[in-house]
Amino acid sequence: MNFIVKIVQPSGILNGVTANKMRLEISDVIDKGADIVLVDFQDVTFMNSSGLGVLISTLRVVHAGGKQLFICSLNEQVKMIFELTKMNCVFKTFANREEFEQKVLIN
Amino acid sequence: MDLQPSLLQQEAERINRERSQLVNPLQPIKNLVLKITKNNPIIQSFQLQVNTDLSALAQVLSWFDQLRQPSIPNTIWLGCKTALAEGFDNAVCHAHQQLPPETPIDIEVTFFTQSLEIRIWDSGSAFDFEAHLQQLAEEIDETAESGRGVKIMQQIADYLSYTRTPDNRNCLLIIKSYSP
Repeated sequence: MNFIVKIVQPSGILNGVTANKMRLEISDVIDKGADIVLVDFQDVTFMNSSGLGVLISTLRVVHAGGKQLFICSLNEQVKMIFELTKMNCVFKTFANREEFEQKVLIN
Repeated sequence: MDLQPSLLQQEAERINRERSQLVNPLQPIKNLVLKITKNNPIIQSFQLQVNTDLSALAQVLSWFDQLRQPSIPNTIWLGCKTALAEGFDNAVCHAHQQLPPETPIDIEVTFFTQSLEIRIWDSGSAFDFEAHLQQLAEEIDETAESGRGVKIMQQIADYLSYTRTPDNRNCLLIIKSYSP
C-alpha cells in the first residue's frame, strides 16, 4: 500500500502567530490527500510554548482524521521545550529526513 | 484611659510573636540571596524596551544573544532564552491583552559571575501569581493548547517571582545560577 507523504518546512521563530501559518500549511496538504505529514524543523531557529501549543492542536486534528504527523531535525532549544513539556513522548521525532525515511517509509 | 502594666506587657508579647511570625519565613529567602550574591559580584546590566507586539520576539532574542557571556554554559543560556521568550509572550498575551500595542515592555538582564537575572516589567493589572502557581500544580491536561509558559519558566529558573512594583507595574523575575 502506498502512502502519500508531504513535507512541511517552517522557518525562523515559531510563536503563536508564525505557527498558525504552519498549521494552515499542514491542513492544506492533508486536504490535498496526504496520509503522512513530516514537519521538518531544519530551518526553525526557536520555538516558544505558544508555537508548541499550535503544533499540539494540529497533531490532534491530524490524528482525528486518521492521518499521521511526524517531526524531524529539531535544534537544541526546540528539543529542550519538547522535553520540559514532556511532549517528546507525544510526538514521534526523528534526527533528520533520512532517519524518517528509513524508519517510517521502508517499514 | 488607665493603662495597666500587665495589659501593656501582654500587648508587647503579642506584637513580638507576630513579628517573629513575619520574620521567620523571610530567613530562607535571605539565605538564598546571600548564597547567590556571595562570591558573585555583579558584572553588567542591560536594558531593552519593546512594544506590545508578538513579532518583537525576534528583536528580544537577538538582543539577548548578543549579550552572551562566554562563561555561561550553552544549556543554561538556551534555558534562559526559552524562559525570557515565555515571559515576553505572557506580557503581550496576558498582562497587556487589553492594552494598546504601543504600551512598552521593559526587559533587563543582569549578569553576575555565577548567575543571571532577567526582569520583565509590564503595565497590566495586579495578578495573584502564587494562586496561579497553585492552580497550575493541580492541572493535569497534558494536551491543552496553552498554559505551559509559566510551568516552563518554573522548571528552568532557580527562582521565579511576579510581583507588583511601587509604580503600579508588575515585575517578572527569573534567576538562574550556574557554575562557569
